[in-house]
Amino acid sequence: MRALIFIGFILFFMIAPFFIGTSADTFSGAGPFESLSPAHPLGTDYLGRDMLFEVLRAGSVTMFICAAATLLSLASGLTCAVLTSALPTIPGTILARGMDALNSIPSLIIAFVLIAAFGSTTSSLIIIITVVEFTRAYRSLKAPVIQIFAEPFVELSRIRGEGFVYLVTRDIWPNIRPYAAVELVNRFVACLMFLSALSLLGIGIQPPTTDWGTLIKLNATGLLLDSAAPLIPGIFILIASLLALLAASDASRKLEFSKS
Amino acid sequence: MSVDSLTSEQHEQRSPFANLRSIAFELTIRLVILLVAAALIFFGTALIPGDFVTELLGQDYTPELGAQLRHSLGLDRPLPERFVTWLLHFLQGEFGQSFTSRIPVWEVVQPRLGNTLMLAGAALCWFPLALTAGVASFLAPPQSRRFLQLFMQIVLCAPEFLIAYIFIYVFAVQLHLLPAVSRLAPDQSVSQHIRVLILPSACLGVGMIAYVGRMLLSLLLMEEKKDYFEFARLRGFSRSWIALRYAVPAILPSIVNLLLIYCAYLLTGVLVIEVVFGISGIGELAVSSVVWRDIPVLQFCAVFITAIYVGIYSLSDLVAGQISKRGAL
Repeated sequence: MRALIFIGFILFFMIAPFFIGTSADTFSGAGPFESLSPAHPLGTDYLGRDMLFEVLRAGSVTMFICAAATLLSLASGLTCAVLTSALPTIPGTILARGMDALNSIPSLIIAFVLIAAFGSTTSSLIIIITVVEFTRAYRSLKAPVIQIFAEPFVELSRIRGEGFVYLVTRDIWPNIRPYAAVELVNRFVACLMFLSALSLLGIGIQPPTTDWGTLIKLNATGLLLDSAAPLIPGIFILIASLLALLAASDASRKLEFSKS
Repeated sequence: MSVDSLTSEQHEQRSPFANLRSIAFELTIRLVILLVAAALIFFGTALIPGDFVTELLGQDYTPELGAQLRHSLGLDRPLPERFVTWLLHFLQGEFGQSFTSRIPVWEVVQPRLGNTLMLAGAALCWFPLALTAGVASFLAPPQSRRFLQLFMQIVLCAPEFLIAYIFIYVFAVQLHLLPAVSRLAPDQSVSQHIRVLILPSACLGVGMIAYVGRMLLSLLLMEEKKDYFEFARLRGFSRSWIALRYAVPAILPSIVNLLLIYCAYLLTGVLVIEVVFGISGIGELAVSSVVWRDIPVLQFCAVFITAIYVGIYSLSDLVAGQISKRGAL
């Protein structure tokens, strides 16, 4: 149920801009940084545009990038976790130590280097966030994968002479799925926070395209003019991460239940 | 289980250096990892498109001059060779010259390093409050404990820049208590420094209070289930006395570990807070070096921060190793 609310929240922001159409670009004659009113439920931004429309438009960019980066990082993290356990000792160890090395660079530093190299286009940002997050996904999925590989039924399949593909699709995947579900939610929030931080620093999504982080940065001056406009996108990020926390706690409780 | 711990104990008694040797082995691995990380950073920055030389020369660019400069900067060498020379120079403390300001990287970094350290130090000053929060939520009645837990959880979910902007909005704009922009300059007095640092350090401190407080609470709740706690309760000692006199010292290594993990987080948290409050520190420098593609500065910041990060985590693993050893005994 909580998971459904979380997914609904993401989907809502993904499709919302298709309903508001071009109305976000028409200037309503309002001044910059107006406070909340019936005409502008969330006030206006630094150019006098309606903040609600801006948040919805930026939300769609945020959600699409985060969803793509989450799915990619989970898939590659899971693949690496399976490979380190399934490969022979030496290549497996090399892969594991390589992941350790990547993990020991702070995430913002990886992003700094890669953004300097590839720029901050949407697709490069997705790849960069994936590079940062897939080691985290790998780290939390590695232990359960190793555990499942040690189960007697995997041993049985191996003795029966089943191939690698069978092992992964029939033995590993059904058992790793609940862990992957929890990790999916956690990764999504991490991606959201990371993308927002990059945009806030000015090296993420570049205007005129906006995500929630850029929106905070662009409206930051409003704070000194007594406007709460820059706080609004931040509050949406907070809501997303709280909903994710609820969904993840639900999923991990299910995990505990299935284990016992 | 007991047989296992017995044999490992005997083994340790037989060779007292086994532990030290494993520490040395771990440290060597960390150094190799750091080296690989430095290589990743170097080859990452080598991927940056465009030619530094054409950018450096700008209008004056001629093919001959370009080739000459490329030769003098060593850019015509193959990439692995460039990596080795870069690494050797780096280890000798020669970090190269900034592309944008044309002065040695160390001179660009040095004044900012002080600012960053000051901010990080100020953030760590909130640690006693974090300890208090953890112990207080343990001793609080269940109703208020649940409230405290909820509060800590919400703070942990909030990104640090949101906390920063809320703090600026409330304390600087609405209440006019503290400055919204933190300018750190050498000509300021100590009291001015403190006044300027309160708000940015509080943004980092709030996160620490929530994180350390929550972890401390769950550690104490685990201690409460142990036999000695039960025994002391039956002897008639109060819960707060046992917690402060016995439980907190018992989990001291874990607390040190929490502090170290938080230090590692601070390293990146500081970068964002610096940009929000306009403090000219390492973080702000690193961001502007990304924007201006100032490779030597970016390389230095990246390797420097990574080295501290790896150092802190090695220390934390060392402490964690001591904890598990104590648990085994």
